[in-house]
Amino acid sequence: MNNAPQQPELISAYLDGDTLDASESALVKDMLANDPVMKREAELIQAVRMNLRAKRTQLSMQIPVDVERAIRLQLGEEVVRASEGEQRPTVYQRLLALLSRPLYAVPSALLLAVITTGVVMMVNRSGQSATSGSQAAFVPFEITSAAYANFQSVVNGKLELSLTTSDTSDLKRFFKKSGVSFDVFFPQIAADLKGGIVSTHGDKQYAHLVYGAGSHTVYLLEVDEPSIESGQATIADNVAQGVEKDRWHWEERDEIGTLFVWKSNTIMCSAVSDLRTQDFSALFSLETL
Amino acid sequence: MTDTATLRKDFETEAIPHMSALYTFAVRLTRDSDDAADLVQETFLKAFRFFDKFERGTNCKAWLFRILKNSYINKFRQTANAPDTVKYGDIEEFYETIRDSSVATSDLEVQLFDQTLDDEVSTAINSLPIEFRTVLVLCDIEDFTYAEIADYIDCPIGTVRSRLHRARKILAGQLASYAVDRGYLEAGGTP
Repeated sequence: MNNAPQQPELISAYLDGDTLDASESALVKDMLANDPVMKREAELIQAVRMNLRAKRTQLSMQIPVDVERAIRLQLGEEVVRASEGEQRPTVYQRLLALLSRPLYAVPSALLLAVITTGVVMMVNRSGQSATSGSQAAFVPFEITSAAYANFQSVVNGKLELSLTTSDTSDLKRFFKKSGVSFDVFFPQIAADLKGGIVSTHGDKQYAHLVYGAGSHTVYLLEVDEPSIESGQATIADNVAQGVEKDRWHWEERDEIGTLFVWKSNTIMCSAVSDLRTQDFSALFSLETL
Repeated sequence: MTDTATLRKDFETEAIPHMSALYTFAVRLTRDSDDAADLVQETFLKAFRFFDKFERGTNCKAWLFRILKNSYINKFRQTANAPDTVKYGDIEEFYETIRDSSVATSDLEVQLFDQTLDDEVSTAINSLPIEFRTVLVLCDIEDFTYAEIADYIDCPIGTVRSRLHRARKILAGQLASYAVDRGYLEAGGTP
């Protein structure tokens, strides 16, 4: 008889024909051939397996008709809402159409030049002020770029939590005390809250949240609407359009992560994770969105 | 055809067929039909909203189950009356007590288990702690692979093997006790 330690948990995998390598299979075969206790255990497990599989149909339930109807009704409403979104021109599209008219063509070109110059100056200014933050050196304050960069810094350990806690009340108090002027939004998310960070850009404080989802990290940057309106923070056009049209924007960048941007009341939320989009999206509850 | 129309058609083909499977699993998870209905509703609404993010060709059923699990966590994580209060560790001792108990021969076991009523099996499954119930239902009822279960519970394959084996062993003990109650088996395993 083999003196190798018995591993009864391999028996189920052996019976299921799943995941065992050659040496593990050999170990199970040896157990079954030489150890009557293990052999009996295998017979017991096999009997349960067979019983469950034979009863699959009986153990499965049909979804109640009223529940199915309610789901289909909700989906129908979603389709209508999405269709309306497709048909409604975005602010950007309406503006583009207006500026494309010959009457406005030359003035709009001049306006564009002025705006572009302003944005470049603002980004440069933000870049300088970001480094004046007491917590960390943040990249120029375009929201999505900042979210990606900060996520990487969090993962690399270069950006540490200002407060480590899973208590949202503690974090709310901390953000308020640190000068964050808006109500920080805590999404309903199937991940563990690790803590928060406060950054300073110019004279304004911003809130950052960090979550852990198994072996993955979720980082969230929150920026209030007044900061965007005043030009203290900017957001890429395609992202802004996505949020306006579809209520959120998703994108994956190879070797960085997945970006999810949505708006919660007056807060623009930019979350980044090393999860793929379909797994990342699965974390959030509907109430969040 | 519009994007939304295409999306809806794909959703109808890929996701809707799993509605009953999700409901069955939600009932096993929550042990409450109303909570289960809420969970499945939320799952499908969320899945539809994010369906354009679902990678075509991957396992839609597994994706839906992950959404359901996360919705379940969101719904119950902060409530004191979570539907399952039995902890994984609590069952270890029980498992050890039945591990070495003598059992009847395999043919008899198969016959005895075949005699069990569907309700008894269902009750026995529902009585398992959630960590065991989850892997057992996913494997033996929903036909997930070990890799898919590992992905679902976010644990290594070894954990799946261990929990599944113990779940089946505990279930065997439960079914045997039903057999004793009904006089098919004498206490101690003697037919």
